[in-house]
Amino acid sequence: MMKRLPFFFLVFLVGCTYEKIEPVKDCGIPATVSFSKDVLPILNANCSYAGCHSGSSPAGGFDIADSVAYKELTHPGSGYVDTLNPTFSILYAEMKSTTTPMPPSGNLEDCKLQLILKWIEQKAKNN
Amino acid sequence: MKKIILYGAMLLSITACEKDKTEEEKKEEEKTIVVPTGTLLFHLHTYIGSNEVDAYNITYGTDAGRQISLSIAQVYISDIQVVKLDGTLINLPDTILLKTLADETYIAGKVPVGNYKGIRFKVGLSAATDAQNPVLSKDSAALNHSEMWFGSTAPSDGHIFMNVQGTVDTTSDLSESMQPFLYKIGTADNYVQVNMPEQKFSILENQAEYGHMIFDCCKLFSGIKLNDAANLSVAGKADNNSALAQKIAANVPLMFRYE
Repeated sequence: MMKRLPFFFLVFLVGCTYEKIEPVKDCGIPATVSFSKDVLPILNANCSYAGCHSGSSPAGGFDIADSVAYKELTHPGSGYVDTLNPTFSILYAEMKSTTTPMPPSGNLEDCKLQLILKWIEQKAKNN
Repeated sequence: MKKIILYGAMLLSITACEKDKTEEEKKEEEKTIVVPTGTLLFHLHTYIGSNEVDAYNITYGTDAGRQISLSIAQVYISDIQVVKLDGTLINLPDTILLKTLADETYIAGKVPVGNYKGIRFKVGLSAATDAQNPVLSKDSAALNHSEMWFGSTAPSDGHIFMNVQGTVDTTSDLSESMQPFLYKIGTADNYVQVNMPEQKFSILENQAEYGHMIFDCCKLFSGIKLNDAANLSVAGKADNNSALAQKIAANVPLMFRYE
């Protein structure tokens, strides 16, 4: 018993310095994010369907149907996309929000959020 | 003997962590503690009734059918506070926002991470800020707007806290006889507190959280007899002592609601 005590003491000390490391997921985000190929499909699947942000009466007056999405997102002063402070973009902030998450069914997967953020960081081009 | 020494060493290592700190040490620690914060932003839309105002000089109808158009609608917001779930108030004292039609997003400030239930602010400027030279002030980005001064040149003769102008149907039968109105509300007596209704939100570390609100200009006219031409103008600083100006200022809290 006496011989084991130093070992327990060592475990006790090592336990104090344990650091949890989260695994990093490779999202495979392209070097240049495309609005039409990468961002729009996410919006179509999660946001711009009837009863939400599309149709004759889009929620919050925010219409991101295919034909108008880019114009609506980048309308000056609207704040939906903020290329100077990308994380302040309403599009991204609402998708990250736990208070009013968009879509309301729950936050999107982190890789999709990273993709959208990167598009904004790359100056939100209509590419 | 070895056993006693080992237990002694273990005890020492544990009690060392619980050593009482002196007052000075505690104060020093408080100074260096970095409280994790997120950013609260406002998404503020200008409305007339149920209609978002897309541009000036477009006529919109209120829900009651009264026609109104705006030629300017700007307002100062300051002394922002957030209310924690337990009722504690957190001040964001350094923020002064000038809400314009063109801009809809504003940074309210850094807020400690946590759960909240309310947003409060004042419409207008504190006496100290109002007295500043808008050109030289550290807040000149917000204050240096001559359309928001009572005087025509800096230093201004005080700031207009809320400048809303346009045309309004003044008839009681809503027959669309549009008349110009001009409301320049200011002075210390009209520095108005707005307490938004309780609505829970969370601030997460290094994350932006938006408060989506509407600034509804048709509420300005609540309880005001529009068919009296004298009720269509509050143009100068002196006019702000009038019962009309005070009535309009009292309507200011009604102008804000959540989206």
